[in-house]
Amino acid sequence: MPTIVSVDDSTVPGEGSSRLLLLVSSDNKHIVVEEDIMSRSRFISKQVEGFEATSQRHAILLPFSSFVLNKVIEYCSHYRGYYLLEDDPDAAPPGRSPVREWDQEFLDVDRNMLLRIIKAAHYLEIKSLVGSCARAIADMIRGKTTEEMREILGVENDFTPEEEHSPSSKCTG
Amino acid sequence: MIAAFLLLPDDALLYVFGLLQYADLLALQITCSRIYTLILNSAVLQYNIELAACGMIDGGTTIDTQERLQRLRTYTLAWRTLGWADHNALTFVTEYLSRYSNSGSVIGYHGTDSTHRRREIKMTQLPSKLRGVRERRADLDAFMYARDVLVDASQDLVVYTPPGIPPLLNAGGYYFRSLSTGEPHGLACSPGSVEPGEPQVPRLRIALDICGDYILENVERESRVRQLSVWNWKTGAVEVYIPRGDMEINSGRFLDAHHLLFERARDPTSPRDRQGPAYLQVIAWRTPGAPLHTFLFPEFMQDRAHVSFELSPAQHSSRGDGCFFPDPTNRLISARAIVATATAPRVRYRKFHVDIPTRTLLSYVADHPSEDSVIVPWDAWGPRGTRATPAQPSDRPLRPFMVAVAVDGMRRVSLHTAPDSQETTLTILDYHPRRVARAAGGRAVVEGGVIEAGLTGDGFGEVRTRLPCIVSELPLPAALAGLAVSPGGVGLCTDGLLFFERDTGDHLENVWAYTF
Repeated sequence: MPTIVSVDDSTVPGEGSSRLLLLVSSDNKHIVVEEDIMSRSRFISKQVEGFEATSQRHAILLPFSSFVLNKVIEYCSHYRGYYLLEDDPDAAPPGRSPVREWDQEFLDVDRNMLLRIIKAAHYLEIKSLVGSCARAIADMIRGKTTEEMREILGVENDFTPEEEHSPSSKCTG
Repeated sequence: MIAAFLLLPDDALLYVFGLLQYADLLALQITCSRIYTLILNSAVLQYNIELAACGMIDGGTTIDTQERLQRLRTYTLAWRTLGWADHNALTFVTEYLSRYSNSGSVIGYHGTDSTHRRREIKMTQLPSKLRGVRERRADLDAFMYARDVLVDASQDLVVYTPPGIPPLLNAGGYYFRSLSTGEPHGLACSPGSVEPGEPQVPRLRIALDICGDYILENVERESRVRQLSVWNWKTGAVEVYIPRGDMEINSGRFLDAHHLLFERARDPTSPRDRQGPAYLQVIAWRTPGAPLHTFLFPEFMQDRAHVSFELSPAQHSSRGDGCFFPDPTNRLISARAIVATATAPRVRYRKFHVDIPTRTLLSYVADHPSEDSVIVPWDAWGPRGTRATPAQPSDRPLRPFMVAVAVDGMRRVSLHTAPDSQETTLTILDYHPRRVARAAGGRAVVEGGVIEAGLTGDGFGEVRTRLPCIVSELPLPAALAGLAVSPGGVGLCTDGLLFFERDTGDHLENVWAYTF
């Protein structure tokens, strides 16, 4: 059980009037971030609601490294104050997320990093980031053969030889 | 990081899969058992896969995906087994056999009154239980004996022409009405506007086709000279005019918004007999100076051949029709060429039959943007890099007499009657626009197919594209057993088949519409 750090919510330095949150990554790095920035995350928002109910604020432990966490914070900072339809819990979910140029540049990282970001985004319930990552992954495997897809996604072929023939014999249409 | 992708939760994985298309999904599905199970159990993904496999597009209704998937599967099965939901019998009087206009699931045909004058145009939306299309009927008073009727449901348009030989040209000879209200169509140009450059010669229309703002008309002038012209029905301006040259134009259709397909014969002295080498021609009519692609049957260069083609009607259905509807880009050209090799005492024919998806032809034309007009033998039409492979003479018995053929979407239906038993067989060829051959660890999307040719020992020849297709040969539905199907007496629509039964007196025709 890591240490629970209480954050004094009355002292808010800097420009914004937003309160601060303490996030602890899996490699035990403590990162202080404005609550406003992280409000895009449904997970964090729910935590904050919990704080308000109990009027106790403590650090939020996250199961991914500070490297990934910083990347997610970078994303959230970029879209601070922006309304993104996918993140609106009240809006009807869009069929698919729109292509955003900044996201494409932001996600121009290696495969493993991309998978870590989507996992973190999913954990934090940031739908817009999940959508952008999913698009980037889909772009990687589009037009590839099954063997290439296995390599890209790091997936092992776990079909038995008999099974391997049975799914392909099921032909649609 | 091994299997990092699989550590993602299911809904994140499904989010990724949801962005992929048909072929990618099929390739992905066999990467590992978890992904396979996920895709198999996702109704949305299965629905998308099966929609693409049978060339349909989702109609965006409120019916939930599981239900739509179920209906799609039943629909696909219904085309294999002809599991009719019910049938409608339509009756109409016509001199022109099967002169009806099919637009999606709406058919327009001539009505009748007590004087047996075709004053009314009747429109019926054929119902489909599976796709959730209601039956609707509407009558339009044409105030005259309408000759040609053309329905375009997507533009809420009915076009018809007056009887006889119209004295005026272009817009003057046409009536444009709204399908829903029956009023004159608000967007049509005023009747009577005549293109000044056109010679004022009475003429007879042979065929009409409509594509968006444009009407294609194939006209025959006094001297039996046939030619094509395309004009804009909203402005009345003639856009393109294809003169006869040294060849006769027999019929023409819009392949898509930019290309025309027509058929010509080289013997202008006997246009009625349509004899000479067999040609199909494609031109990009909107591009000035575009080359004319001539697709010919080399076997018929020296012979006096007869060529004709059927083209799937443009699917003018509106989006709201049904929970899924056919992809309008899936159309089939079914071309036939027949030549007599021997006359009396024993008539012999050679016949070629080629089914070509319009996509294959259009991609060929797009890949060969040469400056000059080109002549392409039919065996080069296939998809890139494929050539015709001569087929072995088959031991199959000769095809019995073909009574009728019709195409719709990627399907061709034909009725054959065996000469001895008079038993009628219905053959449905269901071509798959995108069939994926899945080998272990790989994939191949078959977009075109190989064209196969061969002559049987008896002089009958058949050319067919070896496209991936499912052939269903079925006897006629029990209710239609013993039906005297008239020549040209079968029609196809999105949801089933139409049969035309000719009554005595050659005037009254019963149309039996069988839908799913």
